[in-house]
Amino acid sequence: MNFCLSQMQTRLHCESPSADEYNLENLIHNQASIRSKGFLTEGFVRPPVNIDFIFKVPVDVFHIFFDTKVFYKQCCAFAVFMNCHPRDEASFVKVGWYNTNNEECIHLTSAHCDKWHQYPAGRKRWRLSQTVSVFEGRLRSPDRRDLKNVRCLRIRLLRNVSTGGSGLRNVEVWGQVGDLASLAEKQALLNCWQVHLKSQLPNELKLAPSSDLLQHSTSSSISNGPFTTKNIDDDDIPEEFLDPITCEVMVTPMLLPSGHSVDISTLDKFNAAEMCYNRPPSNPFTGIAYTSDRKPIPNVGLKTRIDRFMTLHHCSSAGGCISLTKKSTATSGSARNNFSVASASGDTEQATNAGLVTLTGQKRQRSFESEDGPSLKSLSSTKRACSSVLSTPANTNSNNGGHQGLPRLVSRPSSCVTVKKYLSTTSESYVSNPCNSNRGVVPITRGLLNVKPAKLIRGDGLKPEFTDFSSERLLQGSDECAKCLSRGHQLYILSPCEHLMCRSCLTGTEAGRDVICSQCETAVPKSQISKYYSQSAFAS
Amino acid sequence: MAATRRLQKELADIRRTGIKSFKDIQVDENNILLWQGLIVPECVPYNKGAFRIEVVFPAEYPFKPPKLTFKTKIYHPNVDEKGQVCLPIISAENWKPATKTDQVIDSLVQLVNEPEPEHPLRADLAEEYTKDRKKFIKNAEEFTKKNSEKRPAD
Repeated sequence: MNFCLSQMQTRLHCESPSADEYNLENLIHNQASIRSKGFLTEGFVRPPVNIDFIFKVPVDVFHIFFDTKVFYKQCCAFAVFMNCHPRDEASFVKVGWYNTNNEECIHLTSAHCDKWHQYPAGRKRWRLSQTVSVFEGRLRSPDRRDLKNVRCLRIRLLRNVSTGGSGLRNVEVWGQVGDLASLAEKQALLNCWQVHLKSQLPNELKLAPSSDLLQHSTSSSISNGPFTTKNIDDDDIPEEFLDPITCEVMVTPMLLPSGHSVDISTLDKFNAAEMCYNRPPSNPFTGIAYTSDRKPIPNVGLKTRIDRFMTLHHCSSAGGCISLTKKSTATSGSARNNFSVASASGDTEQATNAGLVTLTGQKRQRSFESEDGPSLKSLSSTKRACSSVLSTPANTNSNNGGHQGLPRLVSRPSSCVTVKKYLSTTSESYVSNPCNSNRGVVPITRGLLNVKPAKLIRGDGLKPEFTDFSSERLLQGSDECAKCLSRGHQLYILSPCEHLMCRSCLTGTEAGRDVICSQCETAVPKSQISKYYSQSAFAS
Repeated sequence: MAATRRLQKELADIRRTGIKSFKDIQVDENNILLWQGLIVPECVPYNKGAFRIEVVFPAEYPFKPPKLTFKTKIYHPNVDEKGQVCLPIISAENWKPATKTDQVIDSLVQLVNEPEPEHPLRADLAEEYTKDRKKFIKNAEEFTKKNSEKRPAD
């Protein structure tokens, strides 16, 4: 049944003032015409706007429908929260966050709803007009319980297409009375629903069976991909994201001297074809051979925009789940799935591959932080990704002309700190040092809500890949400040000498001056200091 | 396959904008690498008929050039009896992957309208073209009337 009706004794709450004639109560009005008028905030109200639907009884939510376009205002990003405890502001749980492509109709379905095909009986299809585009999304929560016995549903409007007020209309929340409701409450609501059904026009009900079939076909196609909310049409991809020669979405766009941006794979293929005629690598548009100062360079800005676009459109409801299993170009695939902060700092494909790659100066230590991968599948794929990069450390740096400039871009230790602001609920972190052939893996236990910049521990001795190893520091148990010998969570590591100092000893240094390591008396610039996380801290 | 995406886009562009001298484009749904269409020249002696051509794209397209052949017989110094045509823009060594199919067709139409007797495939016609232009035009018009297809209505 649809709970978004005044007969169902649902109450609404919104802190923002509404525009004239677009009252909040419109959303639950008995008359369908007024419901379709919808709710709109005053023009001066800026998003986010919270709209709470407070149910009389606990509700198991299966479907949410609404239209984003009210009057001529349209909302294009929104989030859905649920609360199982009335009058408890803190217990709202986010169950979905969506960016639409300006679709006017939204249909969200509970991911835990095993009755996929059960399109709510008694509900019409989207006005049966094919012209309106429908955004399909899933509601997912950390645990199944949150979608059951919901007392309050909050829709937060995050962004509008144009300025002015934001609103929504034709809201429908379909579900059933939760099992926490008392029998009397249940019966009362069922009666209300029956009354409502009878008041509906009879022809609306007749349409229901055929719409069930329609929905069945669409829902089966949706359920194929666990994360896909919708497939992007080729027409939706901006022209500038496509390689002008192959018309594919670019993975690593390179800017040519002529101003065109072309994917690196296209350049490679073109250069290979030109090699057949013994011609040097040249611009595929002009035929002019490259020179040392006129050659393709990575178009970092474009790549960032492509990645952001693909992230938004590929897994807008994916939450934090990442799958690295995407054909041969796993690098590009994961780059799209990851929130590619790393790519913003001028990366190679490899940089985004396993989260981030940090090249610290000469040592070229690479640390890979994979996103939450509690499942074996994601874990093993991360390992694969790591090993693939590790096994070709030389190739990645001297791959071809285009990549040669890149290590410089990411090699500053300070940049690794910024990159580490990378969103991650880390469960595993691999640290290795391929150039010294000291290879080792530090598994860091999970439970870190924020990013933990991985402490780069050098492995001692020749260790095989991906075996547990103990660093010298661990063996000696010397997790202490070099100056005051204090232990604790306020330790920082000086990158060049890898000695530790605590926060209070470090802050004693004058601003602008280099820090002097108390142990080896090396002058260390402040950019080379990063937070140190001890092994024991993670183990606890 | 890289060729598919590019060809789909090119075909959509051509169908949307249209090329004046290239009509009735037919593409097999299952094989986008094979196009057929009618060349509709504007100049005498070919302006009375239409000439069916076939465009075959290699799988490596756009890194390898497409091949053009006339399916309709044409009395032209640069087209041989088999329908093969010598077009510099799609020769393997001159090919640029950025070249679009509509540019290729345009240059073909230009070649049909203005024969190049300096690089002939049929020396006899080239000689006739340079030495006795009137006779060439008369012969070509007759040949066109006899062999060419009907021009599609605009």
